[in-house]
Amino acid sequence: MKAWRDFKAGIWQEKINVRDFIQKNHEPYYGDDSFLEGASDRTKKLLNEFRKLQKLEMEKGVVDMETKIPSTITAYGPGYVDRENEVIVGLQTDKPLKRAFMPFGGIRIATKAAEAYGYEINPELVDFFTKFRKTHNQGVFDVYTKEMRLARKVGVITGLPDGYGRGRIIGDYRRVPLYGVDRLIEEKQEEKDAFIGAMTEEVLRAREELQEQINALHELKEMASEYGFDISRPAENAREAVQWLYFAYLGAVKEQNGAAMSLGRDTVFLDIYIDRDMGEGTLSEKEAQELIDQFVLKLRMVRFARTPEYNELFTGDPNWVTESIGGIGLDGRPLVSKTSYRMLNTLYTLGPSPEPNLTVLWSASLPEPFKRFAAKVSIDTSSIQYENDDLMRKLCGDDYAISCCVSPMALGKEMQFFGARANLAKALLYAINDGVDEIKEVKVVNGVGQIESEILGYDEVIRKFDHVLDWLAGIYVNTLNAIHYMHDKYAYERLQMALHDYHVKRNFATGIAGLSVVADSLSAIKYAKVKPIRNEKGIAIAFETEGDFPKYGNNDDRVDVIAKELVETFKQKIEKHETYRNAKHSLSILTITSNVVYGKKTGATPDGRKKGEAFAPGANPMHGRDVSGALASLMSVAKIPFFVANDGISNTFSIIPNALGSDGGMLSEEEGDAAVCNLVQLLDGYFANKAHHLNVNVLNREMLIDAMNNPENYPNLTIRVSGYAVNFHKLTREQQEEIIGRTFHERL
Amino acid sequence: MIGNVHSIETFSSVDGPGIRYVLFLQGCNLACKYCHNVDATLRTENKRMTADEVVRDFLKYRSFYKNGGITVSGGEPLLQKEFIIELFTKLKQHGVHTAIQTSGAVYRDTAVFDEVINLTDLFIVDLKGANNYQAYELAGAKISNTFKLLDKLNSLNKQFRITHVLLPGINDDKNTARAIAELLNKYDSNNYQFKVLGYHKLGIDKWKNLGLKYELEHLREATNEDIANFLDMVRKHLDTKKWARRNAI
Repeated sequence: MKAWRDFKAGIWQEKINVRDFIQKNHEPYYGDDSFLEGASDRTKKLLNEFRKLQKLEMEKGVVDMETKIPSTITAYGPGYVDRENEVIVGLQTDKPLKRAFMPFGGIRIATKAAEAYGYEINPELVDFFTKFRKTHNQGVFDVYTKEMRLARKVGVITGLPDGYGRGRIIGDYRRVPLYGVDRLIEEKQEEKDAFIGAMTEEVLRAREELQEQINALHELKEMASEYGFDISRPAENAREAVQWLYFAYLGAVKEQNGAAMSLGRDTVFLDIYIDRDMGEGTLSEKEAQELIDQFVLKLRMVRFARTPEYNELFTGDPNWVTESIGGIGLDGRPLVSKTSYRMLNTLYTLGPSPEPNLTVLWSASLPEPFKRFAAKVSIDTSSIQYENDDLMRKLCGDDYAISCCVSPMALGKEMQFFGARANLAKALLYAINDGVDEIKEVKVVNGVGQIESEILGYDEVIRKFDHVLDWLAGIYVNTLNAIHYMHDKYAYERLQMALHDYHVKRNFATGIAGLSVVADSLSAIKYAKVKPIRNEKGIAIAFETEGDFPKYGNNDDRVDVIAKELVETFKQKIEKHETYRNAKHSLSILTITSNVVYGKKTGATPDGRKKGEAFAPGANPMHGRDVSGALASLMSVAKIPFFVANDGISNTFSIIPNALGSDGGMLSEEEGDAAVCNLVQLLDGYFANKAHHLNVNVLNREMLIDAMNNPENYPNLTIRVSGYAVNFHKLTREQQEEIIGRTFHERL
Repeated sequence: MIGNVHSIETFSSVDGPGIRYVLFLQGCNLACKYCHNVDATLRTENKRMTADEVVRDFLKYRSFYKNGGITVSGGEPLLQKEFIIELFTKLKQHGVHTAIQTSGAVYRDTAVFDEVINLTDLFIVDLKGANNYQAYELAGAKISNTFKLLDKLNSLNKQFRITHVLLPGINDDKNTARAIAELLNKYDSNNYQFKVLGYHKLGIDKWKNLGLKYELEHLREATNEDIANFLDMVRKHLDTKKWARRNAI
């Protein structure tokens, strides 16, 4: 076959198996970044158009919104930004940055999102999706119990995907360029034909889902043909490979407005095509960079219509177009190619940006020049996150990618049911307040019992907390069961699931918020004297603490063990409950920017945190309490066991540039790279301690304060928050202040 | 042996090569007007730690120090040289890179100091002045002992780094630059590095908290430009033959 000329044969030809194709055909690259080229003229022109649109968006909130046509893979016809300069084409709607109308998650929320920006959805459509076509949101609320509604209302479980797309599913988009859509349809048809015999509910569901997947693949072909491409066949060169891959992803973001719409792990895959073209003399380095740049520019244009409430949780228009780069193969060869460098290079050719969410899969065995290049890009742009490949490879093999921020999944083999998170700080207050919510003052958990003693006793609090957590795990898992049943029923990810094997491993992705608040609170109760100040209803509204106590973030086992055990305990309790579709229980410690909202909805806590004050993000220690230096802070987080919190443990690390080291002031004028070497060593050291994830910000606090007050001077200032990057100016004032208040590691 | 410790910083990238564990020892014999660790100079009992305790604490973070190591600073660490000898002897068994940050003012040519030098991979010597007068004015130091230490290190082909804290209007002039260049010309350029540190005021609060008067309040902080200009002046008087040889290596 022409498309597969010169590729080494393997089982990938007989079966859908992208991993085998990569393993047979990729050559690791051990060199440095000196081969890289800058942006082409066409890219520069396109970038200029994009910047204009961004500016317009900054002023208006949105560039435009669709109000008449519900989004499907083929709903809008082709759209362009600047046709003569576009090497890679395709837009979500007919115009760049115009947000599609996506009602299947919930019509109410789609309507509200439009209203927030002054648009009105066609009333006939509102009527249609209310009376005639049920949505996911409607389905969920039809089955929610009173208790679930209450738990949701008081915010002990929040951020649930019950009114918007659950996302977090990554299609193996590489299958489209490698095999072409026709071959994928054939395979799906075979899978469907295998479900015969007794028409049980399971068999019927499989047949229906597979037919939906086949339909979606046909629509994908149709969408591409409107742009003038025939993707029924495999890609024949690098440009087609990038274009086919992008079409596959584009189909997904036309169909689904999932919270996180991650991309996968593509650079080594694409490099095989680029390398073949270069060998044939049909592609130059400049053109290769142009392909990646233009692909990335398109990824930067992905937009969804979101409500103000959603934005309060996840600020800055994030889509988590996460692209995983690097890592090591099971055979020990690095999965690093020149295209891995080209992808990171887009942060120079196109400037820093939150999207795509570039994630380096770090291993002690990565080639040193690659480690150094990634560290250099981090220092220059603060736009990269790092995750421990040496841990994740054990769990997911060597062809996984990160979904959203920190969740690893084997591509095409695993999916997940996103479960947002449970607020454990609030749960601790329920233990102290006889199950009564401290803000809404309603009874939420029965059978806790009032604490009579004036000073909180550790054993008594732990016993009651255990009772609350038992209750919480049950209500949480079952609420998620309701959500995912309905999402499958009314907003099934047809195209994304078409790019999976039918028999996938399903993960049940629960999460924790408030880890450091609870650890420090329990530490205070254990090691100091904590006296609750109760109001007339007996609810603790404040705490008086006498004496000092160890705080999470100082590498002090007395409290770090409390944090670790809390994670283990909650996971065990989650695992006791049956999950929808027998999904496998997993757990993350990740808040994204929602730590601010969770804090707002939670009363004062025994650790000294005031009512309404933000939590620390993810697994971070509380701001200003990690006083024993950067490494002690990192070591505390590293103690949270990844194989328990296997959906990811997020840690965000901010350091001022000078504290990473500088070669300034030296007599010898040799160019040094002390900061780069030290960041590499920091990452090597952190991950050697079995830590999972690190966001790295290399920024001055003064610069952030200036950016908060003069946003116009910093249009592209990108910073890493818990699990993703964001344009600083898109954060709310509260969130900006929370970030500036975080611990910056500095030593001069 | 028990050390009198001021504090520990587990992550430093400015006190020697790589990421370093910095042990600040309590007590100093000088009184530098620009001192940014004035609380560490007091000759009081602070945190008492055995060498074994320091070693254990260091090893907890060991994975971060592969290209770095430990730096003992202060205060004046050489006031506790016996403690350093025990500590470095133990750390050397783990193959740790060792550095000492000192003014050199307490140096004597004795067997004990020979042992310290033997156990130390890098000396970071802060030059309190280019001549006796300057050193006495700024730090109450006699510079001759510092010169003796540098001579000794050079004769043993040990690695040392000379630092000069640049105080605008005080020691950023041509004469100081020339005197420093002449000092450097005495040494083999393969043995030493020279680094200019810009004066900053981040340590002022420590003086105020202790009720001490900070004399340099009026002084401005040094800029990168000040540093570059001063280095250019030093380079003018450097023995270029030696540098040519270094660049050829």
